[in-house]
Amino acid sequence: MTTQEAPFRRVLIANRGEIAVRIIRACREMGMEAVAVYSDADAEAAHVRLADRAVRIGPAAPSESYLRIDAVIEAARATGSEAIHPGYGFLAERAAFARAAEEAGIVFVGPSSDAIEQLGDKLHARRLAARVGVPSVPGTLEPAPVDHPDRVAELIATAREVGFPLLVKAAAGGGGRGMRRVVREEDLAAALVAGSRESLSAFGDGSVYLEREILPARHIEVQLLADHHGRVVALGERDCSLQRRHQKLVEEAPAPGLTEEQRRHLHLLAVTMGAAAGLRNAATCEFLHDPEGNFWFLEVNTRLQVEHGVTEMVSGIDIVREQFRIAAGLGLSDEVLAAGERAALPASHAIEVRISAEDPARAFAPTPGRVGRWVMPGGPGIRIDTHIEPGDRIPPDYDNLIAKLMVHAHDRDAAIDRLRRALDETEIGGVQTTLPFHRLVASSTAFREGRLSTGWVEEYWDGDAARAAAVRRALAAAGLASVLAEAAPAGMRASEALPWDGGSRPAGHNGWRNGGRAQGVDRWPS
Amino acid sequence: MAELTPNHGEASPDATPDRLQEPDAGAVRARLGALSRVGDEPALRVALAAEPLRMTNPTVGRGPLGGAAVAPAQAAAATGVLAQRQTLLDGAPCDVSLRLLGGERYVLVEGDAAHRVILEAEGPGDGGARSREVLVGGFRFVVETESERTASLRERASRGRAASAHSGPLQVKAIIPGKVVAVSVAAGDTVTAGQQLLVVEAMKMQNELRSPRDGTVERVGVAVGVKIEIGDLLVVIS
Repeated sequence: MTTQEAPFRRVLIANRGEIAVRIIRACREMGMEAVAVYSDADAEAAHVRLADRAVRIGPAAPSESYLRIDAVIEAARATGSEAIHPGYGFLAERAAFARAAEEAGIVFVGPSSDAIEQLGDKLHARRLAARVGVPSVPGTLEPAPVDHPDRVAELIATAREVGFPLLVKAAAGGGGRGMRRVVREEDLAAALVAGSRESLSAFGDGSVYLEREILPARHIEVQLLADHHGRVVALGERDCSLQRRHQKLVEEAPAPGLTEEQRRHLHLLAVTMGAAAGLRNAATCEFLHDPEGNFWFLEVNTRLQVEHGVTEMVSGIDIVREQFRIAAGLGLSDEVLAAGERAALPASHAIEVRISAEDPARAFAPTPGRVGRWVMPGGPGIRIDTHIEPGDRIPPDYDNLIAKLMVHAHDRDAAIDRLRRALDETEIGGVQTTLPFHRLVASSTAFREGRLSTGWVEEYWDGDAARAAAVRRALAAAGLASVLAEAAPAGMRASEALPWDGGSRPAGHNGWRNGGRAQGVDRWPS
Repeated sequence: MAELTPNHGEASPDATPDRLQEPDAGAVRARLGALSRVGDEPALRVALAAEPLRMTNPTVGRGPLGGAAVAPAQAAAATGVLAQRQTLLDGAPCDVSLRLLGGERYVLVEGDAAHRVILEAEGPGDGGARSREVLVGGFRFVVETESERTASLRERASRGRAASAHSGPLQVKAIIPGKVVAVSVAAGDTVTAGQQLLVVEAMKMQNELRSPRDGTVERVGVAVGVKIEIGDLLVVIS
């Protein structure tokens, strides 16, 4: 029994992992049946177990399953699904997918296929921004001539206007693919060719353009919701500056250190872009924020973001629920409009860390495998979005994200304290995860002071040092346990030979507060 | 092979800092399992000092394990002995101790810092070692432990094999840390395979080091009373 009429009777979720679970939860709460799709690698995955029905759509490889538009549309048709929620990634920003759904008479939970197509072309988005007076990152508005020796002089002249160092970026790009950094004029032509080739193979479109590199910069984005009546509301902004190879690691809402005036200005820029693009449903407008205080438009993401949860916590709005309402033709709710009014004066703070199966001491290399111990934190202000249970296998075929740990508190300091506490409660075995990095963030003075930039990871994360300290502790602990077990009287278990920690830790310290790296490294006797 | 002369049980109350550094017979070698290792990361030798810490002397006896930890009745007997002995890491006394929280959860106390550690159940590892997963600071490693005695005997055997297949000057290096208590040869001496070269006291035992092959002593790198570490050059035989 639900309190409102369900916007749809049955919904297909064209995704997997934590986001599929997140969307299924919304379906449950709204009284809608959830249909999962799955590849052979996910036959027993959480989203399949949670859904009311599940349809196999192909083998493990994404290109043969989750990226197959025909298979997903057919699954929706066969199950009588009235709507498709694409989640993020996979087909979420493929205009062709939205169009195929529209043509099949199935509601696509997201912007129109036209809006996805236009905003998916970054050059189009940049031209649109120029038309409505939203400042884009300085650069070009048309595709650069690639491999045209006769136009090199012209190209160099343009590049000088943009300014070095600059970035070659893919018009169809995302996730840093097709991107090249160019410091010297003489490297420009080669970078264009390489970037264009990479973009062509990744996106089927080799168009590239030039953009000034803004460094240092913060990555700040605005969450938008828009309805069929052309109303666009900014729910607030997020700071996603902590990135590694253009993959976000930590996100927070609101962006620390902005004034109310800056927030209003930023939100207005985003709403202007959304309105100009004819946006509907949920989208995110991304900006770079330079030390002079400028906001430079980057791109619009026409989908639910991974990090939408922190905005939900601060705004009080269930974004996925609103997506379904909007998709069913309902206007923005009073709650959303009120949240939009409050967005420039946020009253609380939320932080998300992305726990991924990656080794932060080995350049964040993926670590697929089987999860062993799996203990997630709880208590006030904690939200965990995950699809993982102990013993689950993390397939090598998909994204490495295994859990999003979100904390919410009345202000940023309290949120950081809560994050530290939550990370101390978190125990993951079987595969290496990004937890050590997140522990550094939570105990970092620079982070606490709001010194954020897209270069933060390179500046503050020393994976080798963190690992070396942890290795020594692991060896000492395992060795001591073994020594004590050997030395214990016959018949006594190792654990019994150890002094039980009955609450008497060294004065003024305890095991939960001193888990951080800063103290540990310095205190190890040399 | 060297004769191993057990020499433990001689703990005397007048322990000096030097004696504290001598490894105990129960020493354990802990190293990362092959899948957790990056490059050639070294093992850590973990032992308890032979002497109980004297709590009256704060400079020697100060150690978290010597504190007033409350132990379950069952463990009282063991902790009475073990908790008062200082941890030796690679032979050096360290203010490091391990406390049980419950289940697989422990606290590694390191000076006045404390780290939560999870030691999962042990299973068989490579070549007779015991293997377990260890979680600390968000990292997870597979750690293998075996007794120092087993590890060094195995190493010595494999080194001996390698040495006999080798011609030219042979460097005899320390495979265990300890103190040289006797030197039986001098430069220029002719030695035969199996002849005693020197005696190293380690792990409270006298370890005779014998020549791996026939030859002439080219150089002796150590003298009586010298403390040696793993890898130190002891004798060169040509």
